[in-house]
Parts: sequence; structure tokens; C-alpha cells
Amino acid sequence: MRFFRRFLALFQRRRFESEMEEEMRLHREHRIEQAIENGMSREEAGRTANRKMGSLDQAKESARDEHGFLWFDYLKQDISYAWRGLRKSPGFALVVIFTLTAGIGCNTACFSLLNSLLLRPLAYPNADRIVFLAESPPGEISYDSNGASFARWQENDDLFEQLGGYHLRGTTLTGRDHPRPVYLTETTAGLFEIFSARLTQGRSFRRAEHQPGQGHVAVISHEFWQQQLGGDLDILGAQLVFDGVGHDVIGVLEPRAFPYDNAIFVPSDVLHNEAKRAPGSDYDMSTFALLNPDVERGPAQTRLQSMRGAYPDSYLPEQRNWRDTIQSWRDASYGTYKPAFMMTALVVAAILLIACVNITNLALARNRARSGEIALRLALGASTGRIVRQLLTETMLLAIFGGLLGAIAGVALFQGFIRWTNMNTLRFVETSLDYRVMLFAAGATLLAGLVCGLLPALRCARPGINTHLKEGQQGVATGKRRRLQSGLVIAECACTVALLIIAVLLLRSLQNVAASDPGFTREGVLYFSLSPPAERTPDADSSARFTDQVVTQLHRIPGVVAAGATSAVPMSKVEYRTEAVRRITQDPDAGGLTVGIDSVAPGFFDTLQISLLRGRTLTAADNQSAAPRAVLVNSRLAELLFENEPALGSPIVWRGEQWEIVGIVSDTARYYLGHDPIPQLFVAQARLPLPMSYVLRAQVDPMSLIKSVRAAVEETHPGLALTNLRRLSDRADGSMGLRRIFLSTFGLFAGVGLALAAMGVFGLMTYTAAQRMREMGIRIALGATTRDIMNLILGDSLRLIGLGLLAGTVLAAAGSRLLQSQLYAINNLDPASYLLAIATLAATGTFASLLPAWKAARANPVSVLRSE
Amino acid sequence: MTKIDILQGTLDMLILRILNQGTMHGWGIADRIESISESVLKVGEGSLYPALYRMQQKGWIKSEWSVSENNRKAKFYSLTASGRKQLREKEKSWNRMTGAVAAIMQNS
Repeated sequence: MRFFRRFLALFQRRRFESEMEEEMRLHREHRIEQAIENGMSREEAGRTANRKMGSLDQAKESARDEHGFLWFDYLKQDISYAWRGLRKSPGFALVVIFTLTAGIGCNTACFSLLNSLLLRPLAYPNADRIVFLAESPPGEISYDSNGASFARWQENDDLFEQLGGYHLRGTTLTGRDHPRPVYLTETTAGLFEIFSARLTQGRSFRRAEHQPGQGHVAVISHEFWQQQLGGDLDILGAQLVFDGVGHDVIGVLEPRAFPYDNAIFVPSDVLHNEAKRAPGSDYDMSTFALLNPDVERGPAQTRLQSMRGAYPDSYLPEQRNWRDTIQSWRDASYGTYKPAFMMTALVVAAILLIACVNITNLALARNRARSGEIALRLALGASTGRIVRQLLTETMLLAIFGGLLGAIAGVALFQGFIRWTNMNTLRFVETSLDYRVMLFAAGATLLAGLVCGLLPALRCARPGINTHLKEGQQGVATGKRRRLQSGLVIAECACTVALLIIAVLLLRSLQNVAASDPGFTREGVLYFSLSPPAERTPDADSSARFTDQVVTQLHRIPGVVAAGATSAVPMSKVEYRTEAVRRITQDPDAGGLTVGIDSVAPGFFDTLQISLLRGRTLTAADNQSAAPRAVLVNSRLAELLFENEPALGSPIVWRGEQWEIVGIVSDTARYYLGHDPIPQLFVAQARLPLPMSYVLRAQVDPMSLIKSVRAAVEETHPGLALTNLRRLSDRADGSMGLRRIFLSTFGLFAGVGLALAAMGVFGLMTYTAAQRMREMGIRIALGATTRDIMNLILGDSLRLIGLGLLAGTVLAAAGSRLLQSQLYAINNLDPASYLLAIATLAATGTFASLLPAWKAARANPVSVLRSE
Repeated sequence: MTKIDILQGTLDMLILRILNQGTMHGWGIADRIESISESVLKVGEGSLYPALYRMQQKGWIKSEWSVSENNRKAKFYSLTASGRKQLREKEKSWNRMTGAVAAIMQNS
């Protein structure tokens, strides 16, 4: 209550002052009148009154103190004194402000990222209850579910308030100006409700429309309506034609109603369609749910898992040891990157630490220079607390400037990062300015200011004035103070070398990845997708024939050396299938090996130049739906499943049937460069009809053949649109994108750390050399050469840096263990990388010490000794 | 006449006691202390006003501008309820202390 009153009192200052004046004046007049009554003359009365009043000013001061104004007065004094002092040393001020801007800027940017991704609520209502369901192979978490699992998860009303999913199907939109490739999102009931998606026009799907054959309606996204349909005001009731069937547009969603950029939604009949609900069905889905308010993920997952056991008919026998998993929406979206984020957070914290160390050292040096003045003030009666407060005010003032600039820089850095990584396409992540970021920046600034200011201030304001006054301005640096500063610089060098080591490891890892052999040819290869209309490919054989026709046409293009087709081009972003297979000798209940399944048409392996190691590839004869069951496997699968026994010719069980392995191909990196090969199974298209992508290899730059490719497709199948036309080498490069981002960010931070450390070493060496001027003067007078002095100082500096390097190397060795999963083909203790980083810091540190050492060596002994 | 330095707490108690008998302005309080103690105790402005402001901050007294007996403007102080309570407590501890001092002086 007292503080509150005191605070309020500030605002009543003026009134208080005038009232106090008035009161004291009246008191004085009263005294004078009293004296006159007692017989004195007016002047004498006045003099007596003055005497009796005592010191008026001191009375006023005491009164002010009681009223609580003094602390505010002191603060104003401190600030103006600090301001004057800083203006006299602009170099010091600028260095500190810049250092803090760098430190706080990096931290604010990093915190903004973590805040948007992990702390802030996602941009959809009830986002914390939205979860992602999947069936995962043992040992990993996947994102797949299918019609069978979706059906199995129904009837869980006590767990899920809503349950919904979607299946993506590529097709061609006709009936408008020109045929256009689109993806249809087949949506079950409940999906829109999970995201609280609302419509601006029309309605959503009715129950009846989810029956087979009844779903010839569509809901479109706002963005699709505006961009692709011209914002047609009469859109409700308009017809969109897919697969030759007209769908009525019955509704338009609000902008960003759905968290992903799906454009066209049609009702899914999965729950009423036997084929889609069969175990191992190809009806892939992404399934979401809204948990009931008091349900936890863990128990819900356990319940689903036990239900899985109760319905063995809803999955293939080989998938018996798979699990049903429930992940929070956040985790499913970017959970795998959490370790990387945490690592980055640690890194930027280390940078701020380095920055604070630098500033503390600078402040210590500066205060040392003023120790004479401070000692005098202490002798004249200033309290230690007052001096500390005043020194601290100076640091806090600098901290506030630096923090403000740093916050602005950090926010700008974060926004730039968003644009650079296209993170703003993640609709459900909020990247706008948040109060938490401001709070963090303020807190970090305050902390930095206190940490940097308190130590030097306390150090300086010690009593013991005699020593101060006697030592004068220049003396021998006291042992304790030097040890502290040296310790700080060692810490700085340690942090920096740790950062550098990790940066070099990441860089070399990236280089290794870029140079790695993915097992297939990238140069000169083009790929694209093409979806045949459903009416032209009613069964597997017709699909195979369709593909064949296209591939034959592609072969005819001049310049094309080879062409083929596959369901998933390596490193493209097409959906990958994962299923389980086992040997015939293995117990079906024991579960199988998780493998990637690809459907191929003849010519694929040739085009990508994937070598055939044993046996034969799949030919046109295998590409018939009635052909004998033959598959190809890659050597990884052969290793894992057959170990030392020959795989060729052996039977393998897939989807409950026996297949013969007719050939073994070499491993390929399937998802991205640097990825460990996974076991893969290849089947002829006629046995596993999936949407195909076409590949061709040419002697010329494949992009120059685009026109010919389109013409070739148009000739065989007019009216179909090509999609995802790309160069494979571009995709392969792009697959390293995330690594590059990580490395660049890290590299930036390591660079900042290095610059700060160099400044720190420079600062300390300059200060130490200045402190030891007297000693240097004596040495020179006694015959030391320039080289001797420089060696002396450099030797000291190297000793410090060396200790720092040692500590930092140990730190890095421990920390890089966490990073091992990100490192490709390089050990986290790789000596060459460590040496490179150590050499960089050693060189920088030595370079930074050269100037101070040289200046010390050039000191004129006579003038130095005389100034004492 | 000697000026005896009065301890801060004691001065507070004296002021409260005087205000207990009625509202008064600053110099009136000083006069009263001086006259009742027969000029043994003289309170200077340097002690009086800080004490008054301090007690006002603590909520023991409150003030109000008004007109004094000789038609002069003056700030009048009066006791609050908590001030009265303070007075009683201070009186109690004062009596205890003086009793203890007297006991030692008489018996040793």
C-alpha cells in the first residue's frame, strides 16, 4: 500500500511542493508574530525566526524523502548522468548497443519461431483437441490410414466428438474453357466439423449424398472459386464435370476454412462401399478427429489399439504388428523437427551469453578507468548502493536501446524467414506479431542488462578507497580482476568454437548428401503425371494399355533415349505406399517386413538407369492382369528378408498371396537425397493399377522437349492435362531444401558468434595491454625487443584461446551427439571438421590480438614511465 | 534551556497525543509541545513536518486546509482511527520502557 501511495504521490508532486512552501511560510510568519508580541522589533524577529527554523532546505528535503519523491529524483539524476557519460564514450556505447542488438535479435527471431509453432494456439477453434489418426508400422509413426481402418475407428463416440477423413484423387476437370488437372478431395462426414469450416454460400453434404452413386455434388474452396472460376456470382448450381460426370456446386467455403489448400470437395462413400473398406484396400486416407473435451490422447490410443486386436479382419495379416496411433495435430505436422528447433534455441542462447560476456568485460574495463572518481565519491559520503544504482542505470540504458533495436531486428528476421521458407502456406500457424514475443524481448533485455551491469557495478563500488586512490589511473592489473575477465573470454571462445564445430559438421554433411549417389540417374530426366479418365480405363488391363500407349509415343520423340512409368518417382512428392510382406516360411501372425510398394510399367528401370543385379526385369508379358505373380525387389529387401539365402526365385507373401521374386535391382534413395534405402517391392502395373507418373530420359536438356511431350500425349489421348512436369535433378536438389535451411540458419548464428568472440578477444587484449603499459615500459627500457613484447602478449592471448578451444571442443563433442541423426556420412567426432573450426577460431583470435600486442610493443618506455 | 533531541518514535507519540485532543495546524502543534513541556522540548520544522508527512503516509493522521483562529489559512491535521490505535500502543510501550528505566535507577 505504501508503494502505491508513493507512486500516486508522484503525480501530486506539484501540489505537494506548493503546499509545503505555503505551510513553511505560514509557520515562519507565525514565529515572527510571536516574537513581535514578545517585544522584538520586526528585523530582529525575522532573524530569530530564521534561526529557529533551522535549515529550511534540509527540512524540505527530509519532507520530500518521507513523501517518497527522492527515489524518483535520484533516478532522473542517474539517467542524465549516464546519458552524459555515454555521450562522452560513443565507441563504448555503440559497441554495446550493436552487440546487444545482435544477441537479442537472434533470440527474438528464434523465439518467434518457437512461439508460432509450439506455444501459440493454432489458428483453428479447438485446435488443441484436433488429432491425427494413422496405422503405423512398428518402430515409426506414419501418416497413412485407409478405408478399412477408417471404418474400424467408427463407433467411438465416447472418444471422439467428431471423426472425419479424406482421400485425394487426381482427375481432369472438363466442361469449362479447357480441360484442367485437379485433385478431388473425397470427404467423409465430420471432416468440416473438426475444423469448424463454415460456408459463405450454399450448404455442405447431406447424409444421403455419402451413399454410392449419390454424391454428384461438390463444395469448393473460396480460393478455387475466386482464382479458377473467376468468382462467378452464380456459382451455386453450376456444373463441374469430372470423369465425364457432372457435379453440382452446392457450397462455397469461407476463405481459409480448411487448413490445407484442397480446392474441390466431393462426398466420400467409403463407409458404404465394400471395396474401399476391404483390408489392404487402396483407398488411402488422411484421418482427423476431434477429441472429446476430457479425453486424453494416451488412453484414446490404447483403446483404439485394443479395438484393433478385436477386428483382425480389418487389416492384412502381415500388418498384425502395426499399431493405431493418435498424434496431436501439431506433432503430426512438424513434430519431427522439434529436436532441431530446440538445438537452435540453445545455440541462440549461447550467442546471447557470448554477447553478455563481451559487454561485461567492456564494462569492467570502463569502470576501472573511472575508479578514481568513484573512490572519491565514496569518500565524500555516497552510499555503495547509490553508486551501484548509478552504474547499473548506465548499463540498463544501453540495454534498453540495444534491446529495442534487437527486438525490431528479430521480428524482421523472423518475417524474412517465413517468406524464405514459405512457411506462410501453413495456414494453421499464426505468424503475426504476438505479445509473447514482445514480452520475451523485454525480459531478455532486462536480464541482459542486469547480468552485464551488476557484476561490474558491484566490483567497482567496493570500499577500500585507499587502494583506489593510491593506484591512480594506471597500475598493474589486480590478479583477481584479470582472472575474472580471462575466465569470461575463455567461456566466450568455448561457446564460439562449439558453434563453429557444429556448423562445419552440418556443412560437410550437406556436401556429402549433395554428392551422394541416389542409385538412379538424375541428369536429363523429366517426369510428369497424367490421369486417364475413369471411363477409358475401367480395369487394370486397360490402364496398362493406356500407359503403354503414352510410353510408346514418348519413345518416338527425337532426343528421347528411354521412357517408362511408375506409381512413385523417387523424390517426387507423390504419395508413397507402404505395406508389409513376409517370407512363406514365416508365421503370418508374427507380422511382416514393412516395405515400399511401387507399381511399374516396362522401361522404368532402364530410364532411371537403376541396375538390375540379378534375374530379369518386368516385361510386357508380366504386365497383364492374368500373368503369373511376379515381383522385383531391391537388394535391401533381399538382405532384410532373406539374409544370406538367395532371394531370386523364392516366394514372398504379399496381400495374402504368393509372389515369385524374378529379379533383384539396386537400392535407390526414395524420399530425399541422403536417405537410407528402404526395402522396396515392384509390381507390374496391370497387377496393381495406380495413378502413374511418366519418366523419360533425353540426351538434351529435357525442358526443351516439353512441347514435344505435350504434343505426343495430345496425339494419343486428346483432352488430357499433364501435371507436375519437372526435372528430376531439380527435385533431387529440392529434397535437400530443409537441410540447406537448417545449415544456413546455423551458419548465420555461428558467424555472429565468431564476430562477437573476435570482438571480445580484441577488447580484452587491448585492455590488458593498456593495464600492463608500465610493465611493458620497464621491459622495453631493460632491452626487450618488439618481437619479445609481442610474443609475450600473444602468448598470453593464445593461452586463453587455447583453454577456450579445449572447453569448447568437449562441449561440441557432447552436443553433437544430439545431432547425429542429421549428419550424413560423417561422424559427429569427425577430426577434420573439428580441426577446421578450431583453426578458424585460433586464427581469428590471434589476428584480433595482433593490434593490441603491436601497440604495446611500440610504447615509448620513457613516456609510459613518466606518466606514473 | 537545553534542547533535547527527541527520538523519532517519541515525537510521533507526542504529536498523536496532542492531536487526540483536537484538530490542530503544524505550528500550533509545535507551540503546544513547547508550552506544555515548559520549553524543555522544542520541535524544529526539520523534525516536525517530516514527522507529520510520514504519519500522513502511514494513514495515522489526515489533513485539510482551513482558516485558523486569526483568520489565516493553515493546514489542519487530525487523528484517524488507526492513529488512535497507534497512540494507545505507543503509550503502552513508552510506559513499559520508562518503568524499566526507573526500576534500574532506583534499585542499582
